[in-house]
Amino acid sequence: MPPSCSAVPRALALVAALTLATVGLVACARKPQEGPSGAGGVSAPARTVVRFASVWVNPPRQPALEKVVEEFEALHPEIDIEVTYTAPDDYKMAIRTQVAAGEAPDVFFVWPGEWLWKFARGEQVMDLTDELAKDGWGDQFLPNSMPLFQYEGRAYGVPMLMQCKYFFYNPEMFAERGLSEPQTWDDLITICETFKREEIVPIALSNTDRWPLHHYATILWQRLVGEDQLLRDLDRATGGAYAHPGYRQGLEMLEELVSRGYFTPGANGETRDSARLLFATEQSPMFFTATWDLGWFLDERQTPPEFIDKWDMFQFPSVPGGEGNQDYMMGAPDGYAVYSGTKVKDAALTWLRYFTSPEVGRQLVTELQELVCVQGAVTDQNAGRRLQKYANDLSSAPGVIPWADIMLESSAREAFLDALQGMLDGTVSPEGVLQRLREAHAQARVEAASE
Amino acid sequence: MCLIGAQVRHRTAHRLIPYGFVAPALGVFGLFALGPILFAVVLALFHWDPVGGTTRFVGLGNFSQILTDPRTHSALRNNILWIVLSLGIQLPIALLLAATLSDASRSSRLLRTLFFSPLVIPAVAIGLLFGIILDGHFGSLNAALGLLKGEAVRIGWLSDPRLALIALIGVACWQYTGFHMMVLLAGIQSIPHELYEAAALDGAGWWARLTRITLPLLRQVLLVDALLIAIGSMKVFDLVWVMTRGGPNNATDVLATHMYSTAIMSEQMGAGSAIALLMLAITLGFAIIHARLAARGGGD
Repeated sequence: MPPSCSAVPRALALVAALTLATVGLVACARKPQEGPSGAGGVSAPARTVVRFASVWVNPPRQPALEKVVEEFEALHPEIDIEVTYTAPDDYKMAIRTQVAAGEAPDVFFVWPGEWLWKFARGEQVMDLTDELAKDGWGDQFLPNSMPLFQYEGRAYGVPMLMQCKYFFYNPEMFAERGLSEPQTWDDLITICETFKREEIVPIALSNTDRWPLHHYATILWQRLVGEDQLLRDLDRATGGAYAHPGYRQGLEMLEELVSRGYFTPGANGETRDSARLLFATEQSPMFFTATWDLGWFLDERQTPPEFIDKWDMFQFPSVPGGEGNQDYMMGAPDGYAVYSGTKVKDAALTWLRYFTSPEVGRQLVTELQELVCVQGAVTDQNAGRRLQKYANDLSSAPGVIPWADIMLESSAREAFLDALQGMLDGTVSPEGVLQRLREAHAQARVEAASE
Repeated sequence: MCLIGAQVRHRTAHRLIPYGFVAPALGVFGLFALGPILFAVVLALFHWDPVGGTTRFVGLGNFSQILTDPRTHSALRNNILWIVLSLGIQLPIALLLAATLSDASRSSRLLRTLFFSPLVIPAVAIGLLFGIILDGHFGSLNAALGLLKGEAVRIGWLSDPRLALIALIGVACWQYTGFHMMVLLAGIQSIPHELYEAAALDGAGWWARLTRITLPLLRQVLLVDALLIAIGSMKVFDLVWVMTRGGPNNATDVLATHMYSTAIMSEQMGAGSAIALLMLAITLGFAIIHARLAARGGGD
């Protein structure tokens, strides 16, 4: 029996309704953002949800953050901090995707320098300059930790932890061979050669993530080329020449470490955990890592307990004859920015002020043994011997050169990191690395000029 | 008048009804497949950096950039190697397994389930698992080889650029051979049993039955399965990304990881979309061959 006249429109209407419902379901799949006005009913008070993106995925950081969040929520029952934890390398991709989709968390982790400035140019992060001027919020941070968060004179983020590179080393293994902390590059080579002769891999390295090796290049360039020239060359709009002979020399020195077998073989396929383990299980006497590992190697959940008191740290040696200030350290603060599209600006700022307060800073120093960029956070009481050494080194250092990857434009950075990975497995020469960096940077300059 | 009008309306409505029924599926397809593809086509014509907030029309610039990029060439080469090795390894093993395990015995059923089981494990979990097994220093494969050899073995399965891609393809074969066994099994089970019985009466052995009955009658299924392998190998991403991220030094880079790192890591959404369209064109080519073969198969 053919459908009746009235049944057909009804059937079509049903189909249309189903279609709309499907589309509607998809549209509604997004979690609704609760604004300050809230969606709360009469019985439950409205809680403002602040979405907070963190990269603190491991102990001791992750539990420490959870504790801070709990304390904050107890003080501010009207605010609910919804934390997402993403490992740093995945986070770099995730946050870009979220920003591109207009779905970024209200407060999110940032690396300063060009990495953050790009967000600032795209107006994806809130200008915090005026907020920082209120109640002396901006004055409480360590001097020199703020500039990398500023773009064209405006502040787009606040610093949290200051990270610097050190050679973590095993003093026992050094002492057994009559070795001491190296002062110069040649001293470092002598140390490496001593271990290598005994078939011990001198330096634990993992380079799957590609950035570990580039830290060597950055600090060698700072030592040889000089910090000012290096920063000019890394600038996306004005740099890119890398004409100073120190660039090539620095890469050749790095290649020397590679070709002499001073690094973990097959480091391009090693994970960070694997490199940490090689150092912590005393298979390698040195590990060039940053102060983010201070907590790791002091934490029994991550490190064999008997190793915790064994290790120490020294700074990257000087390169005599280099044009840079040989006492410079290498590193950068990390920090947080507020998403420009946030609908809960006040609550987000309340949380960020609390998170970067001196009280929380002191608490975090106690628990993480890392350097919080807030004045007075590190004290004789809450900092262990290694953190105090780091804090002293930092306060007496003439300056800190940021690692190149946060200063380079993204496509130049990718080309550079790929090329260095090639140098590590012997398929790209030092000149080849420079060539690829120059080419990618030239392209980035064209893009910058066309904006 | 009213009657004629009602009949016309009736006929029109009758013609529209089928469209109404496919509308929901079409809506979902449009929203999640066609829409993004069209968006990618538009995106490929622009330089778009969503973080930096710049958008500029570049015409076919992105296409000429990716087509002349040596990294695209090496990624494509890796995809082709992935296809060739997957075909060479998976198809014969899957066929052998399917031919051996096509009976209804308890052991065959158990083994079929066992071989099929890797497919239900998420690729990310497999990637992490094999990442640990293949680790150069602490991996269990090297430890096992070390036991056999009597000395420490330090093969960088994932860190040696000459080995890494082969290791990944090996893992993919481990995961998917069981699936292809099932596809071929379905084909084998549709072959009339009388043929085998007749052949057996004529004194044909296992090998003769495989080469004279199974293979010729399975030709169509084999071709379709080979295309499935080719398309799957063209699209491979998760396993590579979890295990090597396309490294070391792009040695395991395939088009999908190249697309992802271009679009997301280098923040060149336009160039990334152009790579995506290149992949689409290639897989579409395979799909058209697939459809033709399927149509021919139906006409046999």
